[in-house]
Amino acid sequence: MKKQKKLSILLRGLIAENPVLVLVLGTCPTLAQTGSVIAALSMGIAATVVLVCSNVVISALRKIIPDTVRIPCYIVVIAGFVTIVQLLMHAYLPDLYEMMGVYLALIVVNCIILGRAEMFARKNNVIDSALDGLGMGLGFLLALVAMATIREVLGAGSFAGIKIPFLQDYTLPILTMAPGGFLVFGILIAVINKIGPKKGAQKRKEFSCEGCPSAALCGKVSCAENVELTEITKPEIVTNKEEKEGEANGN
Amino acid sequence: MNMKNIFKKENLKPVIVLLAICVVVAALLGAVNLLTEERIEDNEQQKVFESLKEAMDGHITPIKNLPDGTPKSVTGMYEVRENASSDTLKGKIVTLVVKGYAGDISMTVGVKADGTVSKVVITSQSESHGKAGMASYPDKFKGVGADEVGSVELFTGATVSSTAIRGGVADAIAAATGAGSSEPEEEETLPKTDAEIIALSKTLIGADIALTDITPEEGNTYLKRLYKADGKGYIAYLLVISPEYGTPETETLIHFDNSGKIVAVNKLTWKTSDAIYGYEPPTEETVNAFYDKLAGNTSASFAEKFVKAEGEDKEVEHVSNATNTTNRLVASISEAFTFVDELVRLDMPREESEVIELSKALVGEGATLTDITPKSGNTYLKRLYKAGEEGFVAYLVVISPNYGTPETETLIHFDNSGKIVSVNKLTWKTSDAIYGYEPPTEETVKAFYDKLAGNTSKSFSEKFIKAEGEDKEVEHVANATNTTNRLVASIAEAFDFVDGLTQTAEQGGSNGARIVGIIILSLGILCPVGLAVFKKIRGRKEN
Repeated sequence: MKKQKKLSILLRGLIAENPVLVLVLGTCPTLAQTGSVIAALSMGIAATVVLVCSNVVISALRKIIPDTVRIPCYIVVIAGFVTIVQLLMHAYLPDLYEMMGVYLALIVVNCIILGRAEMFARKNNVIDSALDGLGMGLGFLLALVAMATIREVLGAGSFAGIKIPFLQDYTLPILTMAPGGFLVFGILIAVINKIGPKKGAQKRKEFSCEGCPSAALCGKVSCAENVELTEITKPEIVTNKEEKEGEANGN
Repeated sequence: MNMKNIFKKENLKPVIVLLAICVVVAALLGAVNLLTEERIEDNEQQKVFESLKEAMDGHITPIKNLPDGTPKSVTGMYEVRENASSDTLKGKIVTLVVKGYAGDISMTVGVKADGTVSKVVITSQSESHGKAGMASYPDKFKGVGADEVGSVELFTGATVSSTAIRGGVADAIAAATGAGSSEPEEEETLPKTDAEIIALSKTLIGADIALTDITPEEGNTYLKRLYKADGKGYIAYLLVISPEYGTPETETLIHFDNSGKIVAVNKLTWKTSDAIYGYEPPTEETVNAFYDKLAGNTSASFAEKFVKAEGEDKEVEHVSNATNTTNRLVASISEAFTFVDELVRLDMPREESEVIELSKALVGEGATLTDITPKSGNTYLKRLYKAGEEGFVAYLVVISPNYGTPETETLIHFDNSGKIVSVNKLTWKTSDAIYGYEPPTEETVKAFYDKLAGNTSKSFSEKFIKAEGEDKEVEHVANATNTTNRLVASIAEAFDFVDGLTQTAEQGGSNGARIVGIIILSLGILCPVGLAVFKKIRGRKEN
């Protein structure tokens, strides 16, 4: 039972609750870094590393960090990890560092990371948080690579820098630019909505507090009437209940 | 919010937790930075080299200091060798920035050892004319030498850009081959020859006074000549060129005494340019009346009476209908004051070696004296020595404002707590005799000096210094009040500097404590305030 639960936490982030295509978080780097597959890979991996590390730390500290300074503490931790990743990339992977440019630093404000910290890491134990981070990160990576593949292959006629001979003459350059990016993004979301597991990929309600980093803070005051507890939010509650039971049993 | 609440656990805890997290993260980042910074620097260096390799391949080493005469457009130079172990220079790479049509053009030029160009690479430009073929214009310079650069054709339709690039290549070759374009400094021609100026100076101070040329090398716009008149002070020759006519507007010769006060002024030339604005030129008498007001001024009184700061609402002396000319003349005299004041500050009536000998006699022959004379702020304190365990020795000189010669020379031995141990009266030549007073006896003067020993700066202020308007009895030498006042001022200055030194040692340790205290205090004030605000906002939201 436990193993199943752990696995589900991990797999959830891949498709059912894909942060980019379902939760629609972290769209900025998604659009910016999917012009080429290499860039998408770097971004995805960097974000995953940061996500896992920050989830672990925040989860470990969740009992210590008081509610009132919650957000600043999370930001400090996240920014710290992003900076470490920056320094390491600058030192050991300078080419990738150049390619990522300012978006590497912008991982700090990536909604996925702060969102998961708020929604999951601060309510769950370290292992679960790590798995959630890994799952979400991989989902992010997958979405990014998928988009980048489409954009690079159809837009520039190459894949990861390797030119594809017969496509070179039939490229759609607009796909590598911003408008094309939005187009591909929208289409991918539509596809996932259609073919994804019915349970998770529900249509998002307006004013949903899901994924909003300040949901707990605002106490859902402005949107309490509008929020329907969607399938997406339900697993959260179930998890908490089980967690509480687990705690009561002395886990 | 209650002040008592600040230190309750629930209010303090968030602050401490946040602070702790910040400290830990900062430490971690510091560690990672230490680990990676060298590598990062190497990578950045590599990046630069990679871009340079395009101009000339090989082992590249940067040239740290660009030689004098390197053209201004050059931003960097590198040496290229075949490989790391080879000694022979293959050539040099020069990076430059030149001004093009629409902005700056950054270029990298490889110059072979024989002085010809290996390759020209344009690294950045904003000349957006997109002319076909312009991109390959830099290739025209391949193999071109210094004398051929000028004859490379410009690109029609992009004259400015190609001129800039061509100029850049020429500069690069010049820089690389060391044939810098340094023009020799032009010797300035003055309206009067040196001999004439010296002759005129002698009429001011006396024919038999030796004059030494101490004209400054830089920083002087109007001060064309400055002479030290042995024992008598200084002579300054000032020249102001009229910006309207381009010819000499005013030529002035000023005699300063050894204390930096104007003794006499010789108006050599006065040709106001303000006539060009239609003003009736001032009469000879008006002009002379102005010049007569100059004598007797120190730099302080001169600034007060003649210099008006921008925007200041102040009445100053000037020649009516010749305001601009006056302003420029005043500026030239101010400049003279600046240089003379500095010379006065550094000047000593005795040789350095003599002062050191006398100081040793005061503290003990075996003492080691370290010169800690301050660089600024000292008017009378000509030398200050640290005598290790023994304390300090101060050598004070007061120049008589009446005679321009040393009035008092005093050597004081301070102990390490800033107290006077002993005083050596080297010179006492009261100028107050000039006022007709019977000069005081040797005993009276000695009695005064004997009262100095044993004083700290506090007791000294109490016994010897009277503030302006204060009704207080102070020690002084009768019939030599002015001289005494100046002597007391010089000793007070010595106390100021010595106190500063003795206090710093004590304070050193407590500075660290002060900083910690300030940090804790500010945190203690800011955090509760911030928390209170935060809670208020939160409370409002939940309502």
